[in-house]
Amino acid sequence: MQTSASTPVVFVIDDHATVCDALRELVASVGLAAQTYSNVQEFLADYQSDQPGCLVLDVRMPGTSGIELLERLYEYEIFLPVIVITGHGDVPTSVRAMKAGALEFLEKPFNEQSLLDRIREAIAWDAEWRSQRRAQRELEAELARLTPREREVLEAMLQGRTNKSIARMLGISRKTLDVHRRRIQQKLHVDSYAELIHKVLRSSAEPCLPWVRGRMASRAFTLGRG
Amino acid sequence: MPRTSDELLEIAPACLRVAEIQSPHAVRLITPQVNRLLGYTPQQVLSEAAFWTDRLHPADRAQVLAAWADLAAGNDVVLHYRLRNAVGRYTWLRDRVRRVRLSEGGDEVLLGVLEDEPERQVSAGHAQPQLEAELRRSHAYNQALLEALPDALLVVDAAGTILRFRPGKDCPLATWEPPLERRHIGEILPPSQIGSALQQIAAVLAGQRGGVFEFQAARGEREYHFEARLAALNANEVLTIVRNTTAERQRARQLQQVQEELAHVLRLSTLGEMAAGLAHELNQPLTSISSFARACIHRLRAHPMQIEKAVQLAEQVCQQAAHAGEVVRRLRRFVARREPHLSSVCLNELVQEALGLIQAEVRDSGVEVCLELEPGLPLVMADRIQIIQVVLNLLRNAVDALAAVPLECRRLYVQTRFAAPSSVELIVADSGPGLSKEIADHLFEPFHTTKPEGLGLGLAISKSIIEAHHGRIWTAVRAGGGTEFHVSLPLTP
Repeated sequence: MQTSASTPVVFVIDDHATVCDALRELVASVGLAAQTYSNVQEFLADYQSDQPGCLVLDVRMPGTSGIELLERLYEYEIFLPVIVITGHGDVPTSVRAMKAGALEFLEKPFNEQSLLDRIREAIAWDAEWRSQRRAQRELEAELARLTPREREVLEAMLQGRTNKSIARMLGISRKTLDVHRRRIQQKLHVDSYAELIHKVLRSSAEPCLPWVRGRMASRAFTLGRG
Repeated sequence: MPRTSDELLEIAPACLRVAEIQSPHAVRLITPQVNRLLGYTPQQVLSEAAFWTDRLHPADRAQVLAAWADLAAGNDVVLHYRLRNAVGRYTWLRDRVRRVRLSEGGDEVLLGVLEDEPERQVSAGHAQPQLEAELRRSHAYNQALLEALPDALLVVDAAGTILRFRPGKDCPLATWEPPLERRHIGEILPPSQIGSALQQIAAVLAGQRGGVFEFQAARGEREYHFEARLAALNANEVLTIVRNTTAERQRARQLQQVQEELAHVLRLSTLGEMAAGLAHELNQPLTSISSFARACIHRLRAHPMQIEKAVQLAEQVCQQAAHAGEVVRRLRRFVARREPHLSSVCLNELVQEALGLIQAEVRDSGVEVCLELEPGLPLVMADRIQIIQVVLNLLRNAVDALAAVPLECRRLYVQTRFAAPSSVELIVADSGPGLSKEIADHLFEPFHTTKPEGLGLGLAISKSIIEAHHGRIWTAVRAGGGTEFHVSLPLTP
């Protein structure tokens, strides 16, 4: 299927060929693009991290299992939201999946409509998260263009200091400070002081999507254990 | 009424011989019974002056002549001696001799009442007294053996006529009416088996060894099973030992029934243990069906005119439903309660069927299956379900054993091959940790299990199933680690 980098793709990994076929048809029938893989390795070899979409993952597969992939997605820097599907929904596996940041845990045979709903939801989350990431990256690039002095000024501004105290702290005149502030606004493409603060604070916040948080948590847990 | 002494002599049951006291070696009169005893006609005996004494065994001659000479009037003496018969061999005779006057006023003569002594006939003519005693003992032993023998003995000629019949003590043939002697075997055998019985007789007479055949015969309500063993006695007589196998067969049938029941119960319990995996196996087609069907609905709603795609999706639904149906049928076949029956089966197919049942479990435990099924394997006569049960049992044991080794080392090898000239072999091997000696020693005994939830009957029943097929099951250590199970089945059990 021909997809551009911006079209979301539903990636299905299931070792049952007919389940893959069926899910591809189901997804395609609601106008979404789908790509199927019979094992984790094929998917890893194929996936480009800038490709938006979501992942539909079977828990048990020969070779690397779905749950193992889920727990290690951060290592591959893959932040796609994941919907886990399984032939036997035992409690420990579902707990493990949710802990590792799965968006949903569906038992086969599942209600196809709820799978489609979940897929749409996941794609929306992914899009939002990607736009946040994009904003963050833009900001990072813009911040990189600031001079050391301008960075000092920005940090002081973010600390909520008054112009007077900033000028005194940095030992510069109010006039020089105004020049720095104007340059900063130009470089960060904002028109007002309020806009500047909003942009910087929003983009530097922790990602707020549940699966990404979950994955961060599982990484922290794993690192902590190691 | 016989009126003369001659007539009396002729109808007497024993052979009578009359000789003169002065020359006892000259026979004056002999009754025709001599022919039965020795094969001579009376005329032959009378034609030579010293016919009798000439044919006496050299070792017995002096004793006999002395006894005749010493015989006092009115006394009896019983002599045992050997005389050369018409075919040149010695026959043991019992000769009760006495001096009698045959007619009023006549001369006294020597009258001998001759009978053969079959219990002495075994002696070849030159027997030493010691050897004779030995032979007598051996003969008595044989006699006792025959008395005690539960089987019937028949001597049958090439045409199938029963020449002699000796009823065994446990053989219902003894009470057959009419008695079997002088009858044709066709009167005992079912018509369908007469031909093959005559063939067997001919084969044994032609020098083939070890003829055995089984037959049934009904008397009233009861049906009997017999096993007949044939051995040639001479050029046209066959000795047949007939054993009553009715009770034996009944016991075997009962045992077989019990085993079949047990096998069935075990299949049910196996199914219970495999339920999760089987549900998984059914989930795949069901998931596919609902997804294909939903996709089809979406397509038709969005593009009601694009029938092609909808038809294609509906076809997929049908295919998957058929697949699910096959899973269910396979299960039903496996646990169906039914009479065991032999049919011509391909071992490879049975292996595939067993693999189909365990597919989900194999997949879930991450086991890699290496199949090596010899194409064109000859068919074997076997009970399908029972053999599938054995194969499934071996596969499940292997999968269980593989849980003990890391994921990447879990390999299951399934191989079939033609073991020339007359059997096929299945090898199920795993790359697991192998069997300890104490486990291996008791592997096929019931209630020996290494699994906490196992009954310990799987391999025991497998063994009895394979042995009921006249096959063999055994284990070996796999080169490179792990265990091998071998099953060998004869092409014709």
